Amino acid sequence: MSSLLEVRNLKKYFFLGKGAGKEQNGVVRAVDGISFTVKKCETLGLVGESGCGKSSAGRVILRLLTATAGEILYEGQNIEQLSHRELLPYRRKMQIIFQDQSGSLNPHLTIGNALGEPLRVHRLIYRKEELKAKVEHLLELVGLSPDQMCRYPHELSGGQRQRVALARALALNPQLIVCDEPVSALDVSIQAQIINLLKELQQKCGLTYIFIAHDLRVVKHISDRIAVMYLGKIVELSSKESLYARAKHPYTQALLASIPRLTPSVRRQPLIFSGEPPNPLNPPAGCHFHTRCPYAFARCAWEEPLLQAVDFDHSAACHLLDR
Amino acid sequence: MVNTLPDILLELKNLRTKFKTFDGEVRAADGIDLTVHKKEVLGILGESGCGKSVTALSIMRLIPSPPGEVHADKMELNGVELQSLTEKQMSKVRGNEISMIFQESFSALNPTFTIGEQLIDVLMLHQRLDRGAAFHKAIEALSLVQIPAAAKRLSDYPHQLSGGMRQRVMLAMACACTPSLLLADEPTTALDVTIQAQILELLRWLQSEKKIAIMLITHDLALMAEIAQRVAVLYAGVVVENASVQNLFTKPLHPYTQGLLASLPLLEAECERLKVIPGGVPNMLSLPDGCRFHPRCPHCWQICRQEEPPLFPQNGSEVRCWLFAREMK
Repeated sequence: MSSLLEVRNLKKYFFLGKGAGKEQNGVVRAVDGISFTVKKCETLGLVGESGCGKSSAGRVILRLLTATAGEILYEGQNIEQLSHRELLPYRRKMQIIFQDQSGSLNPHLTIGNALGEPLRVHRLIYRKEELKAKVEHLLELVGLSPDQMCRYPHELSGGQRQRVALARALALNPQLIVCDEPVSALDVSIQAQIINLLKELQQKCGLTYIFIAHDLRVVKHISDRIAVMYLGKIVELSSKESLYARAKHPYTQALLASIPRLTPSVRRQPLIFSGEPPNPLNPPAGCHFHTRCPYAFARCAWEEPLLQAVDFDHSAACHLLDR
Repeated sequence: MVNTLPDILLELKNLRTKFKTFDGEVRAADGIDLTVHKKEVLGILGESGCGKSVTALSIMRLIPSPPGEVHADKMELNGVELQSLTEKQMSKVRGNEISMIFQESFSALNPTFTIGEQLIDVLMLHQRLDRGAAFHKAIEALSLVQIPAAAKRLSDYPHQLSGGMRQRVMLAMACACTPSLLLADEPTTALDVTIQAQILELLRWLQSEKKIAIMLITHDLALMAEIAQRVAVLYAGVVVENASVQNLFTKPLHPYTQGLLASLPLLEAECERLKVIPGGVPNMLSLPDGCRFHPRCPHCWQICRQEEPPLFPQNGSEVRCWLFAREMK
């Protein structure tokens, strides 16, 4: 399989307090030099705690935010440098769905209008009947009945709204969809429906997903490969099987150990690490994780570990691997 | 599991909480029976809109009236009927006997006061301490929930703390007067997994060491497996299954519980498609006739559409489903 998207040393810094008449008083390195490739038709899971930069990464890749540095190669073309006009054809190929389904739909637009909007904006369909047929087709694709067309977002349930958001993303026949926590706001029984739908559509339409989530159960189910992020950096990148069976980075191990189990007889072992993520304004020197890591030694405090291959399609950034 | 029945702490019989809206009457809780024993964790499991938070707020008598209306045949805490208390007596019960923590720790704390002021207020009001004593008690309460440098933290405002820390402060505030019952409404939903695990650990410690009974309200099945002893599953305002946590996870009885368990992706096994419960939660304004779950139920038959099932006892559990009716078999 060829790669669809390649990200090289991508950085996104937010400068605090910078503006008219203000001194710059801090930098948040939300995304701090991440590199990965996404192959065609695969799902890359992006996991980490809140504030680790996973959503920022998703947005920078789509150029909804401008990168501070780095390259985003979409089918070999660096889209980081493109002008707004040059970017348009790429916009059609890359879409996003968000966690908050009610916030991502315009409350004044009917479902039909919301789905038709991207088609009109990109000047793909002019004729009314054609547009209506296309919208009907889209609604059927995501498992909604065509008579939902005249409804407004508030008349739908959360699950249905997420289906509409997905249909809108599909309207332009994209190749890549960034899913930013698409199921975390939904009820358990609805989550499963949306996850199944995402998988179905991936096969039907040949989609590639970047799936951003914090629920490691869901991520395991849907992803082919997974990148674990901590304070703006990828600490482990691996195929799903390898990650869940042989996690190398202590942070990944801790994340996996924190998942509540479904068997009441086997309750979780005592935690292997404590503490909270450090302030991203002032991350620890060396390995960002060393302040919470149970295995940290002297070198971790001053030298930053780099991603290194540990297995086929499995790399991690930890000094323990050299020992 | 042999369990000598501990004494009953809270007994709730036929709780009915209604809200009058412009579109009609919503029966958010429609005949809920619950018992919480001393020192246990009772899990209340359900999706959004099933009445789990309303149940907790009804017990606290925090449902605004109008539009709300709360009736129960029995709502006894330690043998005291809560409904017969005056507002003044009730406010003594809140905090001292029952306290509550919420999902949104940020909106539950007052942003304009330091957490110290808020904690000291609680202690002065409920325990009639003077400011000095309350100050020391507040430090104690914060260290109880494992907040490092507690004395320094007292002068922090809520926005200066992280989500996990704020939830700890909430817990400190709730447990400062050592209540016998803690109502925890989705206490970990907004938190990261690692922080969630820490808060769970803390809840478990409060229950085993401080002997506080906890009513844990959540939609997260895995949380139940981690911490609860018994679980009540709610669906559209009624309890559909009452079971010990072992029974619930090894042999779930109600088709809804079975569906929920089957719809979770497993860590241990691979599957291509998740099993789903078709459809969505019913509109509380127009509930289906008969069993509330029947439009989504794979085992639905004639009687399910006509008559609402009562709770049937089955192997130590209780289940609201016609499949378990003795005489029908």
